[in-house]
Amino acid sequence: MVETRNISLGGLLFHVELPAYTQLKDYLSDLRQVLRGTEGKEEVLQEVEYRFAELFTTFMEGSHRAVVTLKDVEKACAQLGAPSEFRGPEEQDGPSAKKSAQGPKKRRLFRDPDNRVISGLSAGIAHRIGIEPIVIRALFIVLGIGRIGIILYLILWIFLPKAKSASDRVAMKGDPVTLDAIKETVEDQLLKAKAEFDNPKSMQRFRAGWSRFISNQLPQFLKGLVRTLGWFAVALAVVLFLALGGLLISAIVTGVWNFRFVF
Amino acid sequence: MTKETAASTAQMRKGVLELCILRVLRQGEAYTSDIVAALQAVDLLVVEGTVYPLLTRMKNAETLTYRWAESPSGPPRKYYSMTPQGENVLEELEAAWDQFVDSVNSLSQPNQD
Repeated sequence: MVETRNISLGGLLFHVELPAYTQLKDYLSDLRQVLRGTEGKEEVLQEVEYRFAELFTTFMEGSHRAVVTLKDVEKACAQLGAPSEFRGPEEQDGPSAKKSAQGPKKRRLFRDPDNRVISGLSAGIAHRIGIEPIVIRALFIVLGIGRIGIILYLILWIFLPKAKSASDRVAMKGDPVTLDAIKETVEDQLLKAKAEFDNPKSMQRFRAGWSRFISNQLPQFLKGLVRTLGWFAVALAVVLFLALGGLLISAIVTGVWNFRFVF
Repeated sequence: MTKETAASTAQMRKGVLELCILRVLRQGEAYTSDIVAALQAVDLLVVEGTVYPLLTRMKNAETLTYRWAESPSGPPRKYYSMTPQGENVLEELEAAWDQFVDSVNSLSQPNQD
């Protein structure tokens, strides 16, 4: 027994076995990567989908079947060729092709069970921002003195999933697009500048390198930071809300007289 | 064939593909798979994938045009045909190809003088 998915290709309905579905989806997304920046990309993708639909129809009719299997998908993919075959002669194996095949990966926020003191929360946050876990731990301890850190920690512990699978771990640690890469870039730029300092043109190049760094890598880093800090902001708002609610209740219960001692 | 020569040959095929597609279409309109089959029959094409981006590019350059046609089974098909502009492109490419072949062949001839 195999689970199937229903998909629409070129306006036709196909029942596809799950492994076949995954393979087809991977092929199409790889193709999308390869064609990135190519003229008429969407049209080519549409044409490829139509072709798949046609091939599957032929396969189904030829063998009186109703479900597309992995073998069908592999056969169709072999006929169309690897996604790299879709590149024209002038863009074969260029550096841009390599870059687009890998693509920058976003890190996801998990608790890191391999690197934990209590729950792996601090390590997970540290991976996400790209700094040492000790910094986050210290931050929680400092905040913990004023109680808010403890509540914040508990809330985040409840809401953040633990990184369970290998793919979770990869998503958590990501490829080092953030601080490490930025540090490397900066060091590279400085070394280059030092080496060519007598050359009057070098200063110009140095500036060009910096502007490239600022326009390409910095926004990505800031976006990640803002998203993570956004998480903190939401958590903080929840904590403040709960704390104020608690204060209000305790004020009502113990009487307004005792209210100022709560602090 | 070694890996390197195989890669070079693949590049050569890709380079002349536009000319070949136009030669196929000179005989009348054809649907994508017809074009692919014609090219594969003479070993000018290994996999279909290479053709799709090229057809789209040629269509956008108005070398080709297409019409949709119903298919007895499966999704509708795109039938491509050459535009008048495409005929000019074909002539130019054919001239370039002939010259290319002459140039390459002349290198293996013994020197005339």
